[in-house]
Amino acid sequence: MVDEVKKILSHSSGEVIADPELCFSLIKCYSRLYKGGCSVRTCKNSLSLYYKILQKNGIEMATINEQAKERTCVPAFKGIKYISRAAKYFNADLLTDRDAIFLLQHKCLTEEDFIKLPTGWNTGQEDCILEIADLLAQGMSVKAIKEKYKDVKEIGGKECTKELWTELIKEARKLNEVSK
Amino acid sequence: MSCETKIFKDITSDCNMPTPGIEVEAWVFNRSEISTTYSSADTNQITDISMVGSATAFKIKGYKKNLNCGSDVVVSDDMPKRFNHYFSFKNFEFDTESLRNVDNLDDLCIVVERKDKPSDGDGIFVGYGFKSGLFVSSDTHRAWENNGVRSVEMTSIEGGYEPHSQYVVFVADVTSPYTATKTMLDALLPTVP
Repeated sequence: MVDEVKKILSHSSGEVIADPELCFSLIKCYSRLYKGGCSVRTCKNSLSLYYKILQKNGIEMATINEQAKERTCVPAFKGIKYISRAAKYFNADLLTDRDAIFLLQHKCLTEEDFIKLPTGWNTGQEDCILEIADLLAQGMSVKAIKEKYKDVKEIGGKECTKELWTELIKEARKLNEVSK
Repeated sequence: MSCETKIFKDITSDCNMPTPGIEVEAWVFNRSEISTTYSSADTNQITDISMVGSATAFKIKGYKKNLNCGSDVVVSDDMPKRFNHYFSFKNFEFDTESLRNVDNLDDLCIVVERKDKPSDGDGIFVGYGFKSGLFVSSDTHRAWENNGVRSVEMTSIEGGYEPHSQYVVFVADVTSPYTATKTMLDALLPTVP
């Protein structure tokens, strides 16, 4: 998917719309990355809009999409679900662990929506893992992150040891592979 | 340096027409009690709001279409154009505290949630009055008209118009910027014991 998005973006918007193959690829990528695989409008103006959206963060979204292949969660729902509390469509086949934890944390989904819950959920540490993942994505070093939270003594009922930090950073990096 | 502004992208009206209207709940802040972070790239985008000290945000809960908002351009031949922000609601409450509360309305900032929900979450939450505040411009109550409810309209204060037609309140998140933004706004409300 990343290569496909890169291929689309290596052409101008006009070239993509004029070429049936690229055009089909654009519709497929947009639908899969932003609409959970739903059918989308195919008029010229819509295609031009999809191209602009892909330009904005298409490669990032495609990378996240690739991550879904390595997920640990198994959703109980099938197909495409519109989650109104997230104002977005989610495809059960494409839901990443990061998405799952975020949606569970914000009560957009419940544990009953999963046959298998994502690794890192319900450990009492998910807030912390997501926060570390965001800081790492922003380019903050591990040392700086540890310094920022030096006063934290306990996370999810566990004492804040060197081993726990290593574990949390490992989990955060796993969630955050996209930013590497 | 010129103050002249230029457009920088196409303007498209196509079949992706937005869903009109706003949801029935709005977040309200006393302007003096918030600290607002704007995007460095887009001056009309608010990326964070925090309360000063122990202050909290409040909610205006409407019914069907009785919350309304918008803006009107204020054109001048010798100044850059500005925008007069607008928000209106109907007040059904007439107890002592509620009356005093509505009588005190002035210098507010308001965030509304549009019914239109683009998948990238950009433009769902919209703010008014963030630079200069919204002030009551009309407040009418007649016991035998409009089912006896009080109609309140707020606008930017004369001469204190806003530089943008509205501000987009947007907290970036890969999974759902909508949820991230709503969580940020809800966190500013008083904690329910």
